[in-house]
Amino acid sequence: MLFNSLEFLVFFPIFLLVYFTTKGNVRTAFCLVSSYLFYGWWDWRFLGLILLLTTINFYLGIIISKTDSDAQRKRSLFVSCFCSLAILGFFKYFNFFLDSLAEGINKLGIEWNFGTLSIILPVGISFYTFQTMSYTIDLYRRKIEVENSFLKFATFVAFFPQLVAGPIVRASTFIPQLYHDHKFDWKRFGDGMCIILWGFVMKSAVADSLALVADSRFAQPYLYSSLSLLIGVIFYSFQIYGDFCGYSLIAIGIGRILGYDFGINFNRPYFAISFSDFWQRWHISLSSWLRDYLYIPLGGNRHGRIRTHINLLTTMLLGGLWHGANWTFVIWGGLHGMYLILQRIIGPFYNSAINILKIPKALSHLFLIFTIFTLTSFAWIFFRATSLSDAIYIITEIISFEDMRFSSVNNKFQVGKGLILITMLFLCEAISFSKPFPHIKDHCPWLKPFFIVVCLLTLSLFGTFGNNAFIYFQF
Amino acid sequence: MQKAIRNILICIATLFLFFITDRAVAHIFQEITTQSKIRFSRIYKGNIDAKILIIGNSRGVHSFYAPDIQKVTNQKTFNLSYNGMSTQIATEFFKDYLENNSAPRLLIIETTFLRDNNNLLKNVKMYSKRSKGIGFLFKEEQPKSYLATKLSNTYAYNSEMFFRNLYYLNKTDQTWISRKVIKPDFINNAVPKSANINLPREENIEALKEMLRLCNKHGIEAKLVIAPYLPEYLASLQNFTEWKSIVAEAIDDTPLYDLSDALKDSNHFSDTLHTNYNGATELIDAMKANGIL
Repeated sequence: MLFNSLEFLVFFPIFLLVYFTTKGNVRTAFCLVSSYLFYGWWDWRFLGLILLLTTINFYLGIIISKTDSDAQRKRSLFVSCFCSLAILGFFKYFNFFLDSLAEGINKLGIEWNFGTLSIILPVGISFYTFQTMSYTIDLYRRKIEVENSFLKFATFVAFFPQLVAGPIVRASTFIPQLYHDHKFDWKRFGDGMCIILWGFVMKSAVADSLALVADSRFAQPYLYSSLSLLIGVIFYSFQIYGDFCGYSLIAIGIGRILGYDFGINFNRPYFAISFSDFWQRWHISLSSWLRDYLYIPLGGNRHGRIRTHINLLTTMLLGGLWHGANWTFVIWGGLHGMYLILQRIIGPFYNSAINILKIPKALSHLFLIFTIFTLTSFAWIFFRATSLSDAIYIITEIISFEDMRFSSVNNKFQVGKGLILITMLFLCEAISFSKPFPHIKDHCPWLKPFFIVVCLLTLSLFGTFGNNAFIYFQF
Repeated sequence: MQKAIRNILICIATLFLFFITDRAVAHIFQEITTQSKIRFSRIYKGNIDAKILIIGNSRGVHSFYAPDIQKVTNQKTFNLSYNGMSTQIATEFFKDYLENNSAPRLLIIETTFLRDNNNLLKNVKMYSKRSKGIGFLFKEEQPKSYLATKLSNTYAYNSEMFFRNLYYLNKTDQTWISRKVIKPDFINNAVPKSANINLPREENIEALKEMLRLCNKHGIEAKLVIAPYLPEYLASLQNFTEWKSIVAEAIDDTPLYDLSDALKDSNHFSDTLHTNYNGATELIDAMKANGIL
C-alpha cells in the first residue's frame, strides 16, 4: 500500500479509530496485523520472510541476552547477522553477483553464462533487515534490554509507517514506546497532520513534478542538449530529496499522531557545508546506522589516517551497494567515500586559506554549499543512470557545453514549474535554518491553520497525482 | 470535552479557510486566464474571426505556421491545434469557436489527431467551466479528477496549460513553432527500422464526422491534410496505407491531401513527427501547389 493511494486514505482513518479505542496487547496485536495487511497489500507472499527474520532474531536475541558465555553470544550474533545478510544477499544481490562474475570470466576470454533467477525484490527488505540486525548487535553490546514479548518485537520489525522505506528505527528508541498506551492528543494530531501534509507536498508536488523532467532525461539522454541534461540532473537531486524526505516525513507524522517519536531523517541536506555535514543531514537513520555498525567497528578514525580513509571508503562503498545491486550504486558510494577522504585532506588547507585571506564566513559557507551541492549532484548521475555508459554519456555531454541555449530545452513549462517548486522549497528551508521546516510552526501555533491551507493549496495547484511509487521502495 | 470541541472547531475553521482561499484563488486565476492570448482562451473572448482555421495535434502546431500562411494568402489565419489533442477534444473546441466567433472560410484539419486519446483533458480541465463539451468529456472520462476540481477549484489550474496561459498573457501564441533541427546522430541511431501509427479511434472518427457536419452546416470548406513525416520515419511506417484507407473511408468525399512525403530534407524536421520553422515555410509552397491554400 502506498501512502499516496486511495487505499491508504481508507486504511488510515479506520486504523486510527481502532488504535485509539484499544489498549495494551490488543492494541499492539492490532498494530501488527494492520502492518502485515499494509505490507501484504503489495505481495502477501513476502510476509513469511518478515516473519522468518522476526522469529530468528527474536530467539537469537534471547540467547544472546540470557547466556554469559562469550563464545555462545558471539555465535548467536554471527548466526543472526548471517541469516539477515543471507536473506538480503539472496533477494537483492544474487543476480548481480552472478552477472558480474560471468562478465569477469567472459573478460578473461572464457565463454560462460550462469543464467539468472527471476527473483522479486521484496519491498523494504533493506530496511527491516538493518533494523533487526541493529537489535541483535545492540543486545550483544549490552546496550539494550532483551525484548521478551514476541508480539512487541514483531511490531517493532513490521510497524507499517516505517516498514517499507524507513526511517530505520532502533529498538532502543522504539520498543520502550510500545509499552506506553498513548492516548489521543490534539497537539500531537495537529503536529502530525502538518508533518504529513508537508511530506505530501515534498512528494506529490516537488518530487513527482520534477520526476517528469528528470526521468525523461535519464531514460533517453541522447535526445537532449547539454543544458537539458544539466537541468535533468539538478532536478533529480531535488526529486530524490523530495521523494525520500517526503516519505520519511509522512512516516514520522503518522508516528507522531499515534504517539511515537521516530526522530528526524532529513535536515536540509543541501545546506550542508561539508560532506560529513551532508551525511549528518541526509538519511540520518541510515548514515548513523552505517557509522555505528560498520564504520566504528572497522576502527573508525582510531587507527591513523590511512586506516581512517580505508574505513570511510569501505563504509561508503557498502552504503552504495545497500541502495541497489548495480555498479552505478557502488560508484556513487565510492564517490562519496572519496569526497569524505578529500575533505579530510583539503579541509585544513581551505580553512587556513579562508583565515589568511579574511574571507567572510557567510561567503565561504555559500561557496561550500554550492560546491557540496554540485559534487553531490554529480554523484547522483551515477545513482540514477540506468547504466554506466549512460552516466558517462550524460557527464561528457554536460561538460561539452555543446548546446546551452534555453531554446534547446524540451518541456519548458515543466522546467518552469520545477524551478518554481525548487525555489519554493529552498525558501522554506532557508527561513527555517534552526529547525526542519514543518517544525517551524511550533514557535507560532497560530500559524498552523495557515500552514495547512498553504500546503493544501500547493498540493492542489502543483501536485502530480497517479499513484507514483516512492523511489526508496526499490531499495 | 471543552478542549475537544475547541479543537474540532479549529479543524472546521481551517477547512473553511481553505475553502474560501481556494475559491478566491481559483477566481483570480480564471480572471487572469480570460485575459490570456493563448489559443483556447481566445476562443471564449471572441472576435478571432479568422478566414482560415487550422486544427490538429502537435503536428498541426508545428506544420502550419499561421503568421506565414496569413502573409501568403492575405487572409486572417488562426491555428487551434495543440499537442496531443484528440479529434474528440478538437471538435468540442471547434464547436465553442463557432459559438463565439464568426465561421471561417476554410478549415484545415491535420488528420493524425484521429489516433490520439483524450489524455489532454487533464491539461485543458481549466476550460471545463467555460465549455459544456469539454466539461462533459472531462466528467465522463476522468471522474476522479472532475471530483477533485469540485473539492478544490484551484486543482482545475494544476496543468501545463495554466503556465502557458500565464506565459501568453501579453503575447500571441500563434508564433509557437519548433526551430530545432533533428540531430543526424538521432536519425542514424534512434529512428526505428519498423514502426506503426496507432489506428484511428472509433470515437475520433465519429467526432471527425461531426466536425465535417458542422462545416457543412456553416458553409465552411474543410480540407483534411496529412502533414509531413521525416522521410526515414515514414519509410518505417508499416501500416500507413491501411491507416489512410480507414480515414478515406470515414470522410466520404471530403478531400484528403497526403503531404506526408512533401518534405525530403531532414533539416526541415525537429524530430521524426514534427517539422520545424523551415519545414513549415516549405510546406506552404506544397500546400499552394496542391490547391489547399
